[in-house]
Amino acid sequence: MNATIEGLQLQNLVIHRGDSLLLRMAQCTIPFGTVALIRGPSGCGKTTLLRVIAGLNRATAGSLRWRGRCWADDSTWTPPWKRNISMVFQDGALWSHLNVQEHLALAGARQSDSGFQREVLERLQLADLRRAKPNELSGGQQQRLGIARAVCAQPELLLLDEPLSAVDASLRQQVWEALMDWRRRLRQTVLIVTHAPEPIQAGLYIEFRDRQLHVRGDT
Amino acid sequence: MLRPDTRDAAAIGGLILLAALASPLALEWIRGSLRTDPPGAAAELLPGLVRGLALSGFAATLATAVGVSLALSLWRLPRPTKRALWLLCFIPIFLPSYLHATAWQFLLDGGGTFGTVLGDARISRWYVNESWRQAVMMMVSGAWLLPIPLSLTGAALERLDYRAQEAAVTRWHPAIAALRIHARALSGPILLAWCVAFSLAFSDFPIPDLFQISTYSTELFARTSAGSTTVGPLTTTLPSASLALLLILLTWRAMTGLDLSLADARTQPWPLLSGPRKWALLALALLMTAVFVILPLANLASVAQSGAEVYFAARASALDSLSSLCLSLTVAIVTTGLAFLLTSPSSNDVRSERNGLRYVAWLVFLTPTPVVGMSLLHFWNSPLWPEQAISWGLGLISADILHWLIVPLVCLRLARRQLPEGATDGAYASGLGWWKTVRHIELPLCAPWLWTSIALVFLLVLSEATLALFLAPAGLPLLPGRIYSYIHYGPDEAIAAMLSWQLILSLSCVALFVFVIGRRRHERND
Repeated sequence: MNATIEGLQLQNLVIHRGDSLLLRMAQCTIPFGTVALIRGPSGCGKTTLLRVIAGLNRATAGSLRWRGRCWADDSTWTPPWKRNISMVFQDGALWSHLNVQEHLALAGARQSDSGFQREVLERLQLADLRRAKPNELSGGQQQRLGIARAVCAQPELLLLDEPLSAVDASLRQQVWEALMDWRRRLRQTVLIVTHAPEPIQAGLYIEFRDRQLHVRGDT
Repeated sequence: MLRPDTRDAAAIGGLILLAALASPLALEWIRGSLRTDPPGAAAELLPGLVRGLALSGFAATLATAVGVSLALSLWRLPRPTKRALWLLCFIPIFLPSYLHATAWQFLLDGGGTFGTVLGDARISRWYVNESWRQAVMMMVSGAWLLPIPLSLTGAALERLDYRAQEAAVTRWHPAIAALRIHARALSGPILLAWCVAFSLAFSDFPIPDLFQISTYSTELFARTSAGSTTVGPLTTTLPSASLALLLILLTWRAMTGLDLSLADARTQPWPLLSGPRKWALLALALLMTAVFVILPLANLASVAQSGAEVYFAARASALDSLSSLCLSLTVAIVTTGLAFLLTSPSSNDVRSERNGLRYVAWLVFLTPTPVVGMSLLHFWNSPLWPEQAISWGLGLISADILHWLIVPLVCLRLARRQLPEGATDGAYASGLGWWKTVRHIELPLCAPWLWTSIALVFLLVLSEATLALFLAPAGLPLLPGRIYSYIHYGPDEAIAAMLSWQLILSLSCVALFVFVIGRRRHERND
């Protein structure tokens, strides 16, 4: 298979949280440039799976490959900052001592594209809050800052953990459209964990059921 | 409380096993050393060990009881007054143990101030005999241990969740609810304060030596000074260290779930430097510094009146102060940096901590300082190292680093625990590498604790006499060693000048530290 379209490949992955088994799967491939939606009951391990893909947690066994490169297996482990990924956390995981602009500047330091940073701030309606620190922002604004930070890093793989749960209902569609627009322009693969009631158009639907991943295409 | 994980349990189990084995092993080693040592070596050391343990235990208990009671009493006062607690935490740390001892010796000796007020006969009734009198004086001079229970209890009270108390009141009588909450919140800090005070008192050499009480540290020091190089008697350290180690481990477990900080600047305003009180307190600090600036001038005048060379006395004390200052700063910065690295999560597991190293630091801290010094001397004297190693002061620096590493480890561990949830995860998942995460995220967020740690280690090393006496390179006398020698072997007017230099240095640095931190906090709040 061509590595450039192969995308993310999970093989024989076993994930534990403490002593309890969360996931045991044979194989799952997420093609490059796809939007994949991950769903499942609360506590089933969706966030842990994203953290394993990001490199913040380690799987008990199995291998993880991205476009032909091995990120993790029994003998190899690539740290998160070498994976060219970004993750939006459910709780923000923001930096309390930095303001909005500093968040974006630090995350986007590799790109040095200030025009893109301005665009992100404006489309996520954070332009007027450049000097605000996370504790001065509402829950929804914090979540949009988390998205802005992740997008500004311009990663190949974007991991979104409940990205719109605290965003104002009137803004959700706008934020989603912006995300999809950037995905097309930056040729990103996007993995989303969400409970949002609105139907999200995705190329791949991944369901957590009985500690297994069930994958189906666009429906 | 956090559930202890298996790694902690294994480490504690291993150490308990070591402690259980330590006593029989130590006895065997002592028996071996008796064959090679001059007769009576163990017979001199063992009573000293028992006396040292008893006195340290009593002094630590007394200091903890007084410190906790004082902290609780001050905490009940209205807000501006209760800030005195923080002043009390900081002021005594400026003064090393032998200065306390000298002060108390002066006050309690026949004809001293207390003697005049209470009458010599009344005082003599307290002391059944000379050794009791010495013991009482030594315990009273244990007042220098007070900052430990004061600061730990104060910090715990600062973090006490009174909402929990309010919730508990609905189920319990208010008094019982308060007692339950306080007991739960303070048991860890009180135990920790006792253990730290105990180990400091047990390791302290100048106080028992000044009062001419034979304890383990004085005996070791005397034997080493006399040129003894036998390692055998040192093994008597193991039983006492094991005992204290077990206490520390139990305390540590009790503290695992406590969100305790000595200076939690991120979530709370600096108690001394918030609001309008800031300027009043800064003025007070400046006034105190000014008083201590005037003192050396008066002292130098007294040196001049006695016919001594003012210039040479001042120059000698200034040079000693400079050496001590450089040493203290080096050790403070190196230990804090080391602790920062040791407490940093490994890249493989973001949540992990290097627990084993923490226990090693405790173990070294609990070992009497003469033992640390003697071991380091052996190490640096080995053929592996060039002869100049001792003269470079490497022995002293490494011994100080080893001995005080526990202070920044505790500070930095608390700092790590209080880092905002996911701050480093957010950095790694945004493509920031290890160094960028440290530079831009961890260091700024840990800064208050880093400053606290540097200041504490600086003050502790500046006033530490035992290692300075033991390991200071020839031709480089350090301030604590010089002052101690003067006090012990023949006080004269120059002491006053030197003490004042030390006080000026300590107070200036602390004032600067308080000012810088206060300014940073002020800017942040703005």
